[in-house]
This record gives sequence, structure tokens and C-alpha cells, in this order.
Amino acid sequence: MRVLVTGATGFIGLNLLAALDGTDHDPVAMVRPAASTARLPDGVDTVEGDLSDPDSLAAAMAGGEGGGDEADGGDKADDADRGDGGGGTDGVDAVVHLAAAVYDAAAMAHTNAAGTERLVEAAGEAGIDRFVFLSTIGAHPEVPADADSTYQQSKVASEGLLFGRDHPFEVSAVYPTYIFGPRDYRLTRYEHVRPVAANRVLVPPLYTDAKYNVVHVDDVTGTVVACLDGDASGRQLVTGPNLTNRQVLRCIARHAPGNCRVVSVPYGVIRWGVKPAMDLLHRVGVSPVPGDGFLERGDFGTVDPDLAERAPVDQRSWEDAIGETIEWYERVGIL
Amino acid sequence: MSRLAVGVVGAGWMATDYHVPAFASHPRTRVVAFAERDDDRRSTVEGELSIPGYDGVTAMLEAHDLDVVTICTPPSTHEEIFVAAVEAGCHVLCEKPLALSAESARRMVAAADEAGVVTQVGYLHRYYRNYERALEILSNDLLGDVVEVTVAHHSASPSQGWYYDPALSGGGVARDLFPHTLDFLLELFDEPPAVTDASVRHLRDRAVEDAARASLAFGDVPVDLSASWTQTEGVSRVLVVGTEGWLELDAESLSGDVHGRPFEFQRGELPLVDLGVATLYPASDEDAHTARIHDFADHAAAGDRDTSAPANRGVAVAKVIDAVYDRSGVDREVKR
Repeated sequence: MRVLVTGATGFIGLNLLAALDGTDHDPVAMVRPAASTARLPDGVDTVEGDLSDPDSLAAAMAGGEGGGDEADGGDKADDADRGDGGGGTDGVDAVVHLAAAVYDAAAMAHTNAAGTERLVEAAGEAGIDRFVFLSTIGAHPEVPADADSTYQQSKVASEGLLFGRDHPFEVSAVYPTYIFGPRDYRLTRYEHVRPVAANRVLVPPLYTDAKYNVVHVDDVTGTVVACLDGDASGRQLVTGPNLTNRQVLRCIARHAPGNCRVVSVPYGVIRWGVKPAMDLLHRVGVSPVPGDGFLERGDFGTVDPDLAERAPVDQRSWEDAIGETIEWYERVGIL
Repeated sequence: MSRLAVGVVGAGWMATDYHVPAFASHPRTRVVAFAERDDDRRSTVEGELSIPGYDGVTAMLEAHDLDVVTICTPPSTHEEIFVAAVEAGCHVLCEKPLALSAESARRMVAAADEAGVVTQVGYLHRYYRNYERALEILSNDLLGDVVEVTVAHHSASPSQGWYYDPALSGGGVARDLFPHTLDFLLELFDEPPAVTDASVRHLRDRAVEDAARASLAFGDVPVDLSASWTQTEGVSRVLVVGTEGWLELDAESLSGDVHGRPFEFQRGELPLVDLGVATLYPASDEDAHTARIHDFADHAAAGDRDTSAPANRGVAVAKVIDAVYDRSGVDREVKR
């Protein structure tokens, strides 16, 4: 299948392009005009498109004809695609929609919901076969949503567009928890790793208490491929095991440079020891912040135990997910 | 495995403090002879090192079957020594600047290619772990596309007189300090730059400039360089701004940010302890001089011509500096 991939230059996108290499799917990376394609693998077809511009989406669905096909590897890759892919046309057969504003709240509304709506419309008119949408765990109907998360709200809004109406194509949506893996160019997981790598002993208050549900990015991309293959459709959870702070930090410590020892401290000690101590240090001017922050208990994607360790593919271990993230950070010079 | 026989040309501090100990401590090389024109210095160093000294490279090459020649003499002498050494079949490490001009550097490359020997110009910065790490971060596109680079390299005035005689040095501070930065930039961008603007100034009563500025363009990326000889130990700093982050480094510290996530290293290392309010880094045994010489020795022993900076890198560097002088209106008619 010829597959249009939005968000191709992002974390999941780059991992998906790597996963599609060697399958019989030919990706076409949709990139915003003037966006850098330096991180894309050599030879991947690209097409300019912008979720705020319906005409550009229609052109992208047509496989980039008229939209300026800027394949990195030149005509060779293009010819090969025409040989085995397109069912008689140069248009795409499927869309994988990964693009989303994750950090910019203002951009979330028009990229995530309105942009998805425009893309769904263009896909319908182009007559594609499959539409795969990357959602997030909190947007799954069986998982309680975080009302404070604008990001989750924007993904929930997309739910109605996909599952609330009829489409001339098959719809799949993927709901991953907290993803780890290589090619994290935005360093979104660096904040978990650096404190471990940059301290020989890690004790609170160097970190706050948190719980996690970690999945390997390969599980996510594998699920997308399964949806493209027709082996899965509809709503697909991609969840790992629920993990404690101690499990995650010790795993990071095992893989990160620096031989860090993680000393666990019960929450009670943080509540009645660390917090008042930090408050005191703040009052006398030693600490820039009071102790309140240490009472925050982060939740990175945990789910009801019934929903843990679900995916329509053979899952990679969460330890590998963390290990390979750290390996990649080291390789690119950031650890 | 037998050790390669190294002959050192020039017996100044660069030779005795760095080249001799580094080749002596490498498992595949040993220092067997040196050449030094000055009689007093030669007999002093002969006494210190207990190896024979000669009054020139020709005599040294005749007396010994050398595998490697390392050149630590003023730039005006490099071409003759370099060509004699490669014609004798020796691998050559040559201190920067490689030559007085790009034209001279090209002749050296031609001789080295003809002989098929391993060559390296002694650029230093890339062997600081921070620079190594920065190159890794940048070559992996972590900052997105590079938007601009700013480099300031200001260093103590050299003590040896030849630096201030253009016939011996090939120029002033631009010829002396720009090479280190240009080597780093050529490695980063992998293409030669255009010199879009340049100027030099004379801050003291010297025959060569002691302050220089240049604006370069690597493709469409503007790069600003400045250098001067100061009265202090100096500062050498690089700032790289990209579409998705930035980093700033000197030999001591490297810091930056990608999408709001900060990173920081000292001498290429993460902290031992980072409490947010206080940071403690491990003691460093970093020795970039020895690292570059050992890296060359590794390549020489393996017969691997693909060193970090083969002689043709010296051509690319000299071309930029020649263009800087042309643009600044400096008369470079050098008599040898």
C-alpha cells in the first residue's frame, strides 16, 4: 500500500518510517512547507502538505502530483513505488495520521481537531481504503480522561470525527500509554533519564513520586502496521505493565552511564520529612523553591490493571524500550 | 608488533611538551631522533631526551629509517620539511597552520598523495570532548537545521618572535587561530564556505594583525568568526543556534537546549551530582594534545589515510584564510 504519513518527522513518524522499511507498504511523508527533511531516511518520498490547507491535503492524497514531489532519493524510489503499489493510480491507499500539536495549547485546537477533520474529509474524497489515527490513552472510551489535559481533550474531540460517523474507508485508532524508544529528537523522555545519569546516588528530593505505564515505540508502530495490513481495526490499546517509580528509575539506572544508585524513600518520608525540610530551606533562602513540588505524584499513562499489557502485536519489553531510548541518547551525544 | 620510528622536526615546547611524550607513550610508536636548527637548543634537548639531534630534516632522514615525521616548526618551513618527509615515505603529522597559503598547501597534498602516506594537520579543538560531543549532537540533527554559528577565539599573544614576522608565519592572528575553528566548521558543514566579509586590525605595533573578523557562509548558514591576541589567557567559545535548539561550548563547558529541555556537560562529562542548586562534576584527565597525536599514531600504524584532518583539510583552511586576507586588503606577498 502507498501510505500517506502525517507527522512523519516526529518521534512516532520516524520510527514508523523505519518500521515500514522492508514491508510492502510505501510511505509518503507529508511535511509542512519549508520543514526540514534532514531526519527522514534517505529515499523516502515526501509531499508538502499542511493540515490547515485543504487543497494541499487533496494534492497530498493524490500522491503529490502537482504538489511538488520532493523525494530525497530521487526518481529511483518513485519508479519502484509505481511498480508495485498504487492499484492503477499514483494516489495513496491509506493515511496514517500522526501529526499533532503536543505542547502548544493554542495550536492544539486547530491542528488536532480541525486539522484531523480536514484530513478525514480529504481522505474520503480521495477514496482511500484505510485511515489509521494515533490517539492517546486518555482518549480511549474505557479510560478516564484527564480533564486538565488540553492535549487529551483535543484527541477526544477527534474521536467523534472518526467513530461517530460513516466513512468510505476503514478506521483504526491507536491508544498508546507512555512511549519510550529511539529517535526522540525532541528529548521528551530526557527529563527522566538525565537526573539518573547526572547523579551517583538518586534520592528524593531529586525526583518526585510517580507511576508509569511504559510501552515500546515498536509496539505502537507495529500496531499501525497491523492496521494497515488489515490484521487490526477499530480502537486498539497499546499498553504495557503499570510500573512504580522505583522500577522505572532502577531500569534507567541500569542502562544509563554513571552507575547511579536509586534509593527509594516511602511517600510518608517525603510528605513529613522532605517537604518540611525544603520549606525550611526555602524560607532561609537556600532553596529557590518550597517543598510543595515534592508532594506531586506524577502519573505517566497508567491504566486499570484489566487494560494493562494490551496490543494486537507481540510486545517488546518495557525495559528494552527504556534501554533503547538511553542507547539512542548516548549515540546522538546527549548522554 | 614493531613500533613505528618517529622523527621530530623542531625542538620547541610543542615538540618536547607534547609530541615527544605522546609518541613515546603510544604503543605503536617510539621517538628515535629529532631535528633542530638552533645549536644550543639542540644540545640541551639531546641531553634531556637521550636521542640524537640533527641540524635539519635531511640529515635526520639520511641517518634513520623513519616511518613517521612530526613537524613542530614555524609555518614557513612546513612545505619543505613535509615534502622531504613524504618523499622519504614517511607518514606526517604537521602542526597548524599547514602552510603559508593554499597554493603551498596544495603542493604538499600532491606530494602526500603521490607517496600514498598518512597525513594529519594538528588542529586541536576537535579533540576536546566537548567539541566531540557537540559535533555528535549537531551531526545527528538534534538542533534541527543550523540557523547561525558565532565563534570567538581570543588567546594570549604567542611568545615566539616568528609569529609576528609574516614571512615566517604567513600572517597574524587569523592564520594562527582561525584554523582550529575552521577545521571544526568544515567538519560540521562538510563543504567549503564563501567569505562574505572580513577585516583585520593592528592593536599593537606589529607587522601582522592582532585582531581579525570574518563572516562566512556555509551554504545559506551565516557564520561569524573573530580572533585576537589578548593579554590574558583568553577565551574560545562557539554558539550554534538551530531551528529546534541551541548549544554553546568552550573546552570547559557545553550547554544547550532542545525544545525546552536543557543539557549540560563539563569536559564532555555529565555531573556526578546535580541537585539543581549545586552541581559537582568529576575531575577531568582530559588531554586533547595527546589525544590528537595518539589518533594520528593509530592511523599511521594502520596505514589509514582517512585521518581527522588530512593535508587537504589544510588546503581548505588556508583557502579561507587567504580569502580573509584578500578581503581585508592585506598584502600577502611573502618572500621565502
